[in-house]
Amino acid sequence: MTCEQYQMQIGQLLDNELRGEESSTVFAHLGACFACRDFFHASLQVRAELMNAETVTAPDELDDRMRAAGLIPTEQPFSRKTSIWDLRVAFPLPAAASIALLLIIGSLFVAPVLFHDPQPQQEFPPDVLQLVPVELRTPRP
Amino acid sequence: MHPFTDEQLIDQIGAGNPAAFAQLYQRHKHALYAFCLRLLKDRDDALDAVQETFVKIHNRLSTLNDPASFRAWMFAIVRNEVYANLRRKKNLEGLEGEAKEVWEEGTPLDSVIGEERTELVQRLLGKLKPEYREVLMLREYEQLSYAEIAAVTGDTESSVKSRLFKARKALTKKFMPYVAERKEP
Repeated sequence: MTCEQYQMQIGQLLDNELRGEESSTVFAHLGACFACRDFFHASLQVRAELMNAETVTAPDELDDRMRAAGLIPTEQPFSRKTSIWDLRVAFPLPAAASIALLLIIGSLFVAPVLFHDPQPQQEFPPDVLQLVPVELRTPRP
Repeated sequence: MHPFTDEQLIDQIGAGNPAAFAQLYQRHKHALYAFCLRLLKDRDDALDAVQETFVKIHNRLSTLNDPASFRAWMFAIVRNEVYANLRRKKNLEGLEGEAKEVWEEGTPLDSVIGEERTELVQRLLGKLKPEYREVLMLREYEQLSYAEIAAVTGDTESSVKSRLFKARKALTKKFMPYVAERKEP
């Protein structure tokens, strides 16, 4: 076999499309031929660089076109619904502020219940009451 | 990651489940777009080709005899779209049959020296003629077997092997001196 033929087999070897005995023959040749060994190493590097290439992703416009064509549903079929938990993870500061505000407002409603004094208020002692103007002694309606 | 195989989704589509087609589309849209963009080198043309491909997949899926060969069938459709686009642009020189030259016009290595290796290889890949570029992409990026690539392109396996070899050899030969230069201090 010529080096050209071995180099063709090197590609098949990289593609895992070579049978065992053929692979052995190629490896034996690589052990003896500098040119084919260089070709083998360069082929490996080219493949690695091809794999390193930036991943190409389809733009959102394609989804819009597909929806307009009626081929996919209007809403994203696999999008997960946003939960309160997601919001807390995504926006920790606003979420914390909202929770604090809720606690403050809630406490305004809860405090009268918690700190309500069931005992009727004691009347002022007569000596103190004398100091209060007469018009103010009558409780407001 | 994907709960259903392509075959299962195709069964579901046949049973009238529209969400199954949406999932099939979501699964393959990026691969098809990348394939079209690398061959057509134009975003809008690539979008047109992918959209048309999915329209044809939707309309012709019932004619697919073997669901296991869906990927090859899908790439055969998108390839037809790409080549139809290239024909429309009258850019088809050398597309029929085996091309004499591997490179498109103007592929000197001089203009790419200094780029990173990955960019260099990508640029060289982009300069291969479409019939060489496509087999390399189907093999390297889509991991299709020689038999599947032959089904996509309508060639024999030996023709696919030959084209892959020529494409790789051309890329490797352009790449080798650059690597050697980079090795020097």
